Amino acid sequence: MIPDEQTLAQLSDRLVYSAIAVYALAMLAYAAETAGRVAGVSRIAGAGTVGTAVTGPHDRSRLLGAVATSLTVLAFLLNLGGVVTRGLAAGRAPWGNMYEFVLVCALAAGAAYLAFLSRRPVRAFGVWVVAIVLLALGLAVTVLYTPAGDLVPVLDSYWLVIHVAAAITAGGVFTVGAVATALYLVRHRQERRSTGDAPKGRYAASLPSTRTLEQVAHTAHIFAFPIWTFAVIAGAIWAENSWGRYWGWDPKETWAFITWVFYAAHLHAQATAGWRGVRASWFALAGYAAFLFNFFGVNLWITGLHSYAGV
Amino acid sequence: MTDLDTKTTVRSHPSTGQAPPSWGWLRWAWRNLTSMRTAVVLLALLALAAIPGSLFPQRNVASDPAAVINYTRDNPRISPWLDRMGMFDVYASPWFAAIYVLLLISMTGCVLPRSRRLWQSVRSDPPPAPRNLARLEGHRTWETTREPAEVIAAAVAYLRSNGFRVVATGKEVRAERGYLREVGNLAFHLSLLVFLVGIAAGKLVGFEGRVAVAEGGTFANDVSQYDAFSPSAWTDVDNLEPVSFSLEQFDVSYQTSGPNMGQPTEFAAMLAYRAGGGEEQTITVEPNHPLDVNETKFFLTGNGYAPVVTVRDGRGQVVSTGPVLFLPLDTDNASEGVIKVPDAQPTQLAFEGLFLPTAAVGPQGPYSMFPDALDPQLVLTAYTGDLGLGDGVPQSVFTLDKDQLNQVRRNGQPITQALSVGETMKLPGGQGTLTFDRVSRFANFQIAHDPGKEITLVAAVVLLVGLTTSLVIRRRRLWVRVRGAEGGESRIEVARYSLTRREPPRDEIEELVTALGGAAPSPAPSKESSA
Amino acid sequence: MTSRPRSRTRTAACLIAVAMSLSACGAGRGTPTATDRVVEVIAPEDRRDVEPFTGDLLDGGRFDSTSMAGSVVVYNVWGSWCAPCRTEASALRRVSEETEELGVRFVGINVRDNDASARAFEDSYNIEYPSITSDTSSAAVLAFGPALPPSAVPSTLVVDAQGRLAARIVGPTDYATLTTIVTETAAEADTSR
Repeated sequence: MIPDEQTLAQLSDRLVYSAIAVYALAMLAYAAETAGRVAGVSRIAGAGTVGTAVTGPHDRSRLLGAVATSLTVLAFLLNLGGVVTRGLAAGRAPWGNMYEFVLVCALAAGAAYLAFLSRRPVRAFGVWVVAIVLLALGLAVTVLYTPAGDLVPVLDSYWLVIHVAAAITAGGVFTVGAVATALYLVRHRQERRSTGDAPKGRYAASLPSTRTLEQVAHTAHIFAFPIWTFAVIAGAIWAENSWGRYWGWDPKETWAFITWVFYAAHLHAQATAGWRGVRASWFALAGYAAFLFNFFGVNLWITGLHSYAGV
Repeated sequence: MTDLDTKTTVRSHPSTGQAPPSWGWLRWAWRNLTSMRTAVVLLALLALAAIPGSLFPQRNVASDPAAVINYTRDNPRISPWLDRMGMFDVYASPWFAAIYVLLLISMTGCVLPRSRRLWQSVRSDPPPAPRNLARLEGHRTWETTREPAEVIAAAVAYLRSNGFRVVATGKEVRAERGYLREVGNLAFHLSLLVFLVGIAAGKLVGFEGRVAVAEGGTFANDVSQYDAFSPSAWTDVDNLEPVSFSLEQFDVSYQTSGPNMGQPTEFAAMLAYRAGGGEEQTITVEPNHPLDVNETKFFLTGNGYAPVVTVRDGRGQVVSTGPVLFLPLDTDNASEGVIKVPDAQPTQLAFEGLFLPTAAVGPQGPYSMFPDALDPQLVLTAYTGDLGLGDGVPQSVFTLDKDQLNQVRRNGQPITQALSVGETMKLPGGQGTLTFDRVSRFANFQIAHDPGKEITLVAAVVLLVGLTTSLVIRRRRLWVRVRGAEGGESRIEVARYSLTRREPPRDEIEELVTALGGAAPSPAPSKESSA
Repeated sequence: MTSRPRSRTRTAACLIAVAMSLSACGAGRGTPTATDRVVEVIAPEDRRDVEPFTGDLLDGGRFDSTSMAGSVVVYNVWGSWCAPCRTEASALRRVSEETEELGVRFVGINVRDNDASARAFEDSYNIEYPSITSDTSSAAVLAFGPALPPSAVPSTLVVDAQGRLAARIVGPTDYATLTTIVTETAAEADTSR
């Protein structure tokens, strides 16, 4: 028997709540793991090694890390289930309002993190990525919740599906990029400060090397930037289809533009002598801030043509 | 402009030729303007400069044309200053233009020399191997008994088949791959220029306009018929597309149950239109599905109610009959409007009030409970006197000039009457009547013509492909050096140099070594462990 | 039903956008070019043919511009809602009566109006000449398209005996301007005959 729409919608809500619960556990596990790692650093630092990544047997910490990652995978799958059932309940792509948008964006961030984790030593990101995802999902179910239903006619367009899907994917990867960039800055500061034997910033010392962090951030940014570009172009095509102009400096469009330009500045700065590294990183973080503002600030505070896509 | 992911940093361009000394500062300025650092600063400025446009209301931009006027009224102190700084017109302001024009010059000044260099480097051979290959990444070396020429031939064949451009001397093989990266990079920046040309074309030749048409009403695509018309500098207003249409029927439906009750589910405007001298055709215009006549597009962007009323004057003559546009006030489509009857005799008549599609009465008076016309009512008050049209000063059709109007009263009280369909309001003293005949709707159309659109779209696609190429492709050089040693043994060296920041493919070197019969890979350096 | 207000905000924003765009339309329709009046008389060698058009008349019957061949015709674009149209109505009536014997014909082109209001207007100002109804005036408006600028109500267009646009007055006309242009155009028709 095929479950009816209401059952599916309820199932979706329950899956999302379960995802939140499991993500919360994952965050606790990651935090415990981080604490263990930091303690390990101080022991090693005490032995005279500074600023290198931790090696050696920290079985409990490693076990906690594995548990945390497993929980993250589980929470990700629950989130995925929530999104899929939501889509089935509404009979359309499940990103038609802000609640759904946040749901899918959390999914994308989780996916991006897990994808990176499978090829890079980025478990140290876990606690932060999971915290952001948790925050987003919490906000979604409390403030943004909208029951499943049809879209207003103007949103009924396949360009919506394409445009929003691209924006969400880019957002998920930008999130990992932003975490990597922020940690890069923390780590960079620590490396620069820690001269000789006085270790400063035990947490920072427990992070992967600046080189790894920079590479992960860079990979994330150059992967997400073309997708973001595509999202903006697809949005312009949709705007043309729906309002007769492809660009109208609507607040949403403006902030998408600002995001794009900041990331473009970041990529250029990475190729500029004297700007590479720390200064360039600030541009990336500015880009992410613009992305977040576009996501939350514009939808909630500024009225524009996109506002009916909002809350 | 720059390669977005390159190791070699270009700070300035080699000057060409000798210039007279007085040109020195110009060259200096040009070099600085086209430097990457300037590009980064300009990009950051562009992003920051775009922000106020989203915070302050904008002229000719937002969905709300009255926004600037309202803002100025609410903030009389700072508004003139904001206006002077162009804060209400950010994207057309001189300072915004200054940033992007400088950015474009900076970019062009960098793209063109780089295109030339790309052209040269594509035609020239990969450079010789550095003397000390051991300092390069992925350096491997081993001994072999194979003839050097044989090894070189094998390396050439292998690298060619892997897409490298290869040059071989007697002693070494030089290979390079990833030229497309720079091609993509240049394509991205050049298409950005074309992209802006497309935008400019639209901005100079196209137009935007708006018109509201009630059911049964007609529209002819002539500037005189628009409610609002925004031409560009070179819009050919004399030769608009000769189209006319009538709005035959306009269907709107709403969700009548469930959590999203009252949300619209359908807007469908049935048009009978005639393009040029052609036959009359019909089309259903819906959101996202405009009527398109030779690139002049008619988009359905709004709607409202237009109750049909008949007004008889004191003589019993019908002096007005037809739909009257009422503007929606809230989500349940409570709408307000006025009905002016300047040719009623012996006195002019006017009515003002609300249209409520699903009428109800609450503590604050009548309101609408639902956006669809389930129980429509027209709540009106009446005026007699002079509408003030006779002195020739144009008036809005949505407001009454009450200076010379008197509210119609009965027993000293202004009369307000709620009319259902078919009901009639009789003014005291036989001054006239108003009958609410039926409900009809109006549709708001946005009309746009943007001839540069195709250029812009093609440029955007090239831009995206170029950008992706320039970020994904990794340019690198590989060298294979063979040194004959005594005893017939040759020493082979393999090394790589990446021209991009992202790591080149990891296994590339091992595969090459294997292909050349090298030793099994030495244990790879253990992955950095952070966990 | 906690969700109801929320889903409402969505439609609210949409509707507000509509309302605002319409309120601008009000301003647009309320401000024709009465202030920047254009009077243009076109030299015979520069005149362009007016495409033939048809339409229904307010008092019944059908109008076909080809039936006017050989006569000077004054077309007046008007609406009962339009305040400047009221100030020029008596001038139009007077010129139409005075030039009737010269064979000049007057035709109104009613726009964005309803027929009852238009008839009441004609009644008030004793307009005797026929007018094309608002619902069928599209063809006439398109025929004169290039001559009519934005918000060009009222406008008066003089077509010569050869069916070419001889003069246009955008904005309200006055008696002196109109009678001069019309009699001169009628006079050239006589000499060319």
